Amino acid sequence: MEPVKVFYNKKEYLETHTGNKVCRKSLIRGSHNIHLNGKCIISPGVVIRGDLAPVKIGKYTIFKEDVVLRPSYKRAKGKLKYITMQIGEHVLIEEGSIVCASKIGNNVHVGKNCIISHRCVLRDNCKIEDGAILSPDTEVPSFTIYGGKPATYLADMPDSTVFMHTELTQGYYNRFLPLA
Amino acid sequence: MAEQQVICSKNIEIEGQIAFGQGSVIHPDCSIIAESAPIVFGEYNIIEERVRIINRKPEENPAPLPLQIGSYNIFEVGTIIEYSEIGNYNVFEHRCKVEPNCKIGNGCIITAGVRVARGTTIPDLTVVYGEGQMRKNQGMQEDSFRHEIKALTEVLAKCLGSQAIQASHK
Repeated sequence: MEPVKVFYNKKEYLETHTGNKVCRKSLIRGSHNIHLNGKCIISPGVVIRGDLAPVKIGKYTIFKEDVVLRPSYKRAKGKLKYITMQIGEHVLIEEGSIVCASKIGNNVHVGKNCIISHRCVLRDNCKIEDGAILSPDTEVPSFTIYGGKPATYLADMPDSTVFMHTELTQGYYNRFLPLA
Repeated sequence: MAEQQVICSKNIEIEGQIAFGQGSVIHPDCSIIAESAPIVFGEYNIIEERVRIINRKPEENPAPLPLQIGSYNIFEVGTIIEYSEIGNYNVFEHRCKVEPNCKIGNGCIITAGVRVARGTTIPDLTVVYGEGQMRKNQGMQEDSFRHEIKALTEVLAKCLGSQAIQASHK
């Protein structure tokens, strides 16, 4: 089966020399605090709040429609402070999810309409199922699948996840083409 | 931030008569719609992205009442509030939904993704979770909660200050 190509309107997207494709209809605040490491896709309706704290995003990271990314706050030395949000490489976040995690590792797959609450940590190669709600301060270990309300451990991921997920995000990026 | 101010970001949808108390913070991309009667907010409310607070004209209620929201409430991303009475010190977590004619007391937590059905009365100090189950909120201390919200408002004022519009009392 031939993989499906996704076409986009060139006028609606900004392209940087490192290959980031950012839709003009997304709501990005504090762009000086957002570091995109190249080959990221930001779809329409995405909200990224860089004005609260820095957001660092790795290579081949894809945010689909209506994702909300906002850094979380933490109490440190008696003061409230917004903390830096780190997102690794090859991360795929599907439609309508709300992400307030403090750290997301590499090769992570977040399903549709998930809620990842404040200060969660998602380690490398894990998967969050569609509609899962992670309660605050949850830590998801490597190579696991979490799902449900509230999200709990369901199963393990196979060892080949690294290659499969890398291919998935790279393939999506390569098939995301401008409308000729 | 001066005491008497409201921090109101750009890109928000406001319709009808709305009154904010001091120290309210409104994040971008949220909508507050007062179709029938005014919406009155108390002090120190934090309203995050994609929140919808609507005072629609209910068909069964020909005389619409103003929507009263107390002080020190947090509305997190994607919350939907329709006409209901809301007290003080409440937390509405991500994407919860409060249907019309509810009555929410003081010091409640509505956890993420919960739908509060039409006409429910939630007593003081309650946590609503799962499919509408309730339990007592034991860790609630009004003083520390008030301090935390004030601290959060100060931090947000610093972050949003440069791009915010200083709204006066409307």
